[in-house]
Amino acid sequence: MERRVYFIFGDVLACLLAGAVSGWLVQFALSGDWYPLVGMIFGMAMGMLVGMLTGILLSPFFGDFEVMLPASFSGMLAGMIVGMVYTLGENSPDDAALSGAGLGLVCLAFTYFLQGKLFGEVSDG
Amino acid sequence: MDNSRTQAKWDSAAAVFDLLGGFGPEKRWKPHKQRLFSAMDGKILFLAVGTGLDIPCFPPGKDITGIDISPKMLEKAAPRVTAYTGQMTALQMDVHALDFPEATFDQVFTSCTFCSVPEPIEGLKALRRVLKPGGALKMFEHTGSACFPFSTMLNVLNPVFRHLGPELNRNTVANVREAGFNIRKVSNVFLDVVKTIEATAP
Repeated sequence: MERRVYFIFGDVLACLLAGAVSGWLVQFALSGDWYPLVGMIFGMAMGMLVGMLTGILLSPFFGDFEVMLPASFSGMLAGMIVGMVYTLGENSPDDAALSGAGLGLVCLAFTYFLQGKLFGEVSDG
Repeated sequence: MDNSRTQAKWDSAAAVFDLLGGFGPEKRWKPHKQRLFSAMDGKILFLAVGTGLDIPCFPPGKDITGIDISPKMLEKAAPRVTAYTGQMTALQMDVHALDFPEATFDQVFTSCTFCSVPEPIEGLKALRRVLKPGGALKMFEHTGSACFPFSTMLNVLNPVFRHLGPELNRNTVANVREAGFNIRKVSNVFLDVVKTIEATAP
């Protein structure tokens, strides 16, 4: 598990940013009269792209896959949820960004949980 | 095998390689690389040298031959090769066409290499040829993932990334086994994506 504060800060920053920016942008890109499923899929694809770009931008400072994968995941989930919620009713840009940031932290927590499970020697090689 | 496209790809990447990977990724992976490289002993083949970012992780006083397909990368690596406190030479060479006699090396080390070798199993077989029987192959590599959603993301992103640099979804552990090595130990560094693989030549 990563214990260096600098890199933990980078992970948090990447996921917060990826989630917030994805949620915010998806909310603008969507139209409120889309079917929720279409909004969800569109948001997921757009969010993953935004999350990946966020990860690539931060990667030189904080790490490679360690930043890019959780950031892409954050963007994907934030885009998906915001996309679906927006097509079901009104959602302000601030709400979308805040929800996205929160979902980014959820994604980071999931990644850290999985990392705790997977780190170290693999028994079956 | 025509390696001109691979060489051109990495020649182009040489200018920005240190900028993209020299600080964050390298600092993050340094403890794991140092642990793997601390086992260096005897006559060692290292690939791929790149711009030499891994060299500060090497233990001092070893006998290392480094190779890389890209002359531009090796130009950048030259000061780090010179600064190494041991015996180190860096040669331009393609892993598919290793210009060494059979059973030359006691150990082979790789660092984020087999994500980019065009024919990974052939490349690994070439490494087996130049390793002495029982010699060690020790790799620091990134691979595909078996864990959703990361598996899907790596598969989706791979078509874009393979044109810019590495492939993201290779099963390098299976490739090592298929090339005829005996796997000794696999350890995950980040999820099941970044890992160390230790194997021996039969």
